[in-house]
Amino acid sequence: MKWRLIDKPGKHVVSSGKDQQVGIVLLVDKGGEYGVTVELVGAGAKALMLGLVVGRGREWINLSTETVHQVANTHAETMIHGVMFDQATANISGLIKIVKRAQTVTDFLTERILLLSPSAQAIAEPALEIEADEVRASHAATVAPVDENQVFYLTSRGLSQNQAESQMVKGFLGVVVNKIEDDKIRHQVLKRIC
Amino acid sequence: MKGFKTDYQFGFHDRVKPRFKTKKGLSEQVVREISAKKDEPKWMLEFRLKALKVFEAKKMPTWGADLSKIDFNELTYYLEPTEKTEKRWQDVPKDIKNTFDRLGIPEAEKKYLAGVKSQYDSQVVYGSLKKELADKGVIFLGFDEAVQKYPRLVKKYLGTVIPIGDNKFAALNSAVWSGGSFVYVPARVKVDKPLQAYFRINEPQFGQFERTLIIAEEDSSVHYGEGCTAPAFSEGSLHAAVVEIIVKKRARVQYTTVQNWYKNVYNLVTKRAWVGERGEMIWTDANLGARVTMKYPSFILAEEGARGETLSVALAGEGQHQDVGSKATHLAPDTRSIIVSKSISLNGGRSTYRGLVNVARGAKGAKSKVICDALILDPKSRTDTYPTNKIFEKEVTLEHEATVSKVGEEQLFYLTSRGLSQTQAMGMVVNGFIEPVVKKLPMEYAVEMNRLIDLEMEGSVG
Repeated sequence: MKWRLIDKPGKHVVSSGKDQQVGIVLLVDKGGEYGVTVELVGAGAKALMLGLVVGRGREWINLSTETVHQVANTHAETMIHGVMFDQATANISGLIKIVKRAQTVTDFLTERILLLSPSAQAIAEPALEIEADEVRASHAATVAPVDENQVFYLTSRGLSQNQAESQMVKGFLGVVVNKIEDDKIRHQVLKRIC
Repeated sequence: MKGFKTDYQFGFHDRVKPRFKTKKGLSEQVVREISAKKDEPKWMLEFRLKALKVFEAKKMPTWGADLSKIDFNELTYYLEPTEKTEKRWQDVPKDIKNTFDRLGIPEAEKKYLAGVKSQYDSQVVYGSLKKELADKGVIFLGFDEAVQKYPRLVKKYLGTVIPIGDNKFAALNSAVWSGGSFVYVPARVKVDKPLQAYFRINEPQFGQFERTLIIAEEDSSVHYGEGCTAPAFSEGSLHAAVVEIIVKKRARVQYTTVQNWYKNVYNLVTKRAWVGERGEMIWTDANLGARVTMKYPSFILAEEGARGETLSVALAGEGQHQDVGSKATHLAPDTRSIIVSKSISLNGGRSTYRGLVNVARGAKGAKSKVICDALILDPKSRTDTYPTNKIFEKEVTLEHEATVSKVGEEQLFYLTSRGLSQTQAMGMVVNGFIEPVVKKLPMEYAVEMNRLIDLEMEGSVG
């Protein structure tokens, strides 16, 4: 699998051709507009998009992802985990588009957002546009605070509230980071988000 | 409307001409005529005129289904119901009679549905129900009648949940409304029998611009049902209804709609409930007919512990676009919302889920769960999901899930190997798919729904 890192605002287009496998790591740790379109244009194309979103201060993050299945027998997965601190706002929209001739397609989209401050905000818009019938597509989105029970467990083991929350954030983002198979990119990402 | 006839195109026309109808098109003159015809108080006329101005100022929505074919100048906005109309049973087209038979609709109801009788032949049932309700202080009237008899109540609540300027079609309804129901349930009264729109007297079953207002006082409960699974014929091709519901402290309201308009109709409906402390609002909504439906039953969970639930089923067949969904607005702590949407697209139909969950700051402990499942039965059809979740409060739990799939080959193989035909098997799978919603419908609706799904499935496999 060929990996690439996208960590700057702006519009990005990635395409995956016949029997190609593409891995995209999307690192969003500054406010701004980010747009990523993944085009699956050849049979057997696969794409995995891993997104890590961290908002701090008064940052406004606008992220929209789109996976477009142009031909049959293409597969994609998008997984985005976001953590919002302070007064940060995340507006995350994702679209799975499957055109009419693109049969036998699978695509899954997950958007999970953790809110760490009472002033943090999130908008999640996972959308599907499907014109073919031989497909399996799904999306899921969640927005929630840090689980109080888990924080309680960690603090009862001697961690401070801050340490406990920070561990949980690490674990939450770690799920996505661990899926990055390219060592160089993984280390780069870890350095930036920790 | 361009491209197809405005009037219902099948041949069973009224033998008696309507007594009164407004000229085609919309103007202040038309609105004044409607109001004068109904002998309305001045405030209602003013409400209508204000709405007309808002309607003219507002632009057509640019999102959602294709509405470009609606020509507002070609529509007739008011058609006085012809109570004495007796269409003859022989004149009803055969395929429609067959549908009725196969749905198992009782003879009297069939005639009513076909427009053969101007009212449902259940005077006795209605009579006793009416007395029972009156004893409890429940008001259940046509909206026109309520304006005359209870002007203070109507004036107090009208437009409080859906203001005139809410959207273009709500404004249109406010200007030219006619028909619909008014329900008032006093505090601590539980209405145990569902109130069905077709039990009402002096009203045609459906109006083009129905206006419904339901007020459930503290600790009361009521279940209101409208529509039916049998195809409903309408004289107009644009339906813009407005339904406002006020659910006070600890009250519970369930509103069931089974919509099966004939397939030339644009069905653009605004439905919203305001829910007070620990109140509960349930929308059960089935959309089977119409050419285009845009309907998003919503609830404003305004006070602590308010609950809202939407269960919807949409079936989009040939030439249909069902653009439906639900909106939940959480304004107070510990509010809960659940939205379950099931859609089926077949024969080139398109179904769209469009939803919004909005959690305002301060709605601590709010929980929302949205599930949409779409079934797509052939390569000609299309399905979309456009959910929006806006969260402005940290202490919330929001979950959204959607899946799209076709009917599994293995499922069909299993069923056909047990002796079922391909069609029966398909019908069974689809009925199983929508079962979680159908089981919340009143029994008579549920039975008819299943039969109707089987009917629609015919000819879709092969």
